[in-house]
Amino acid sequence: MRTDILNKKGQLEIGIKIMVLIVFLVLLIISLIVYFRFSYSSLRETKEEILEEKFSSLVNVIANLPELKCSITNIESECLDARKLVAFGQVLYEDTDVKNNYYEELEINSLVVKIVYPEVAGSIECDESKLINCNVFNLFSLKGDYSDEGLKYTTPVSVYIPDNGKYVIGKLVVTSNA
Amino acid sequence: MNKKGFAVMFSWIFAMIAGVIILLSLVYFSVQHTDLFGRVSAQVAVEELDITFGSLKSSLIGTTLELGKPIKLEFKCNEDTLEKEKLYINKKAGKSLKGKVVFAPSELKSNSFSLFTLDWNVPFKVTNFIFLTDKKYNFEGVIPLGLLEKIPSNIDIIDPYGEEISFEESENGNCMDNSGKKIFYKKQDTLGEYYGKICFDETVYTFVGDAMIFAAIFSDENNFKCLKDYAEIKARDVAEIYAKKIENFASSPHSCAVMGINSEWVREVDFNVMESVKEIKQTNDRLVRIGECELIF
Repeated sequence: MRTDILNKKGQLEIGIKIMVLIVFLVLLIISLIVYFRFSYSSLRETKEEILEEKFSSLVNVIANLPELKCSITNIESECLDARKLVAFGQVLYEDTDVKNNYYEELEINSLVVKIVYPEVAGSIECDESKLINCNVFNLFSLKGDYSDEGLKYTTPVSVYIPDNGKYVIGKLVVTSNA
Repeated sequence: MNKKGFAVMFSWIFAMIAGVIILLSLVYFSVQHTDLFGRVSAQVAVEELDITFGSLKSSLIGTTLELGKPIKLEFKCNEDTLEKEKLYINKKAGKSLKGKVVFAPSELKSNSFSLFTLDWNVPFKVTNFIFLTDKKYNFEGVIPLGLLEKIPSNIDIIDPYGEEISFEESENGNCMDNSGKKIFYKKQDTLGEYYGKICFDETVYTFVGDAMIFAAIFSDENNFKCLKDYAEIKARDVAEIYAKKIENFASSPHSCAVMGINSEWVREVDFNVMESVKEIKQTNDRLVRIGECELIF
């Protein structure tokens, strides 16, 4: 009789300890899940902040590339040279090696300069024979279609038109997946 | 007995609630203070430095980076891979510095780094070279006139006990084994830049441009050679754009733009040979003198 009671007591104790272990493991797993979720969202926030900073900086870097910027014997002024823009777009379209080098450097999907003032009706691409009364300089496109897909980063720019010596207002549009 | 059973159940509930609260508090403090053994902060620092270097490509500045605690920076340049130069921080995080030309020793360890930029012109501007160092330098011999003035006044890298760099005003010097870093130079008045030879012991590199002198001063031979090659690839791309610009001059209403200009000169320029670089500068200067002409650069 006494043995039976002791056995039952022992079994109860073992049961209680197993229950405690199970509950502890469940709580630990829940804590780890919560920890990794918080860590992931914190890292994701940091990543988004860095990407925002990177592309804000990138737009300004592109607007200051010497191969796009107005210059007289390396003395730069704060505008983009339309003749350089056309040449840049043509070279990147025709030469895959140069295009790949710029993609490696900039890591963007597309790069376009759009003229906003004076206004030109429709979308007219500028080229070597048409710098006046046009409003789009297609500079770079990873896929070749200059599509608008992806996140856009924009900065206003002044564009110098050498054909008539005038300045127009445009926006430099960078499109990226990140 | 019922109340005793209820007491047991209450103990269980209390223990579970207390356990959940304690564990969640530990999780919260862990998330706030865990840095995954320093990896997260190292990776953030690498990304921030990469963004900073990107901005410096288009700015001429001189500054000192004060970081509060010592960190180890490693710059590794591998010619064989497309990724070129990579930056590592504290051996915990790394990133490829695509598009940035940063001349620095292979390893730096300090809490303070001198940093400045200088444009490389051959003769058109290609990009800004970024110079980063934690060392001091001792310049010996005849220092190129005006070279020290190109170092921003708030950057102090001169020290008689620093790394020795020898200068000699000559086009035809010889590089010798165990001679360390030696720079033979001449000034080209048309271009307004220095050119000559850079020696790392007996290995010789020809150069054009003041920025290349600083590149040799601040980096070791492996990084110098690798980044110099990369800079020349970049220069070749820029030259291609200017060559296309010249070809498009035919559409320009400024007819003087096509007088005696050959786009192939620009495509075939040798960025290490002064005569080749000078020819483009002279042609551009002719266009400036004629007046109302579109320029090459």
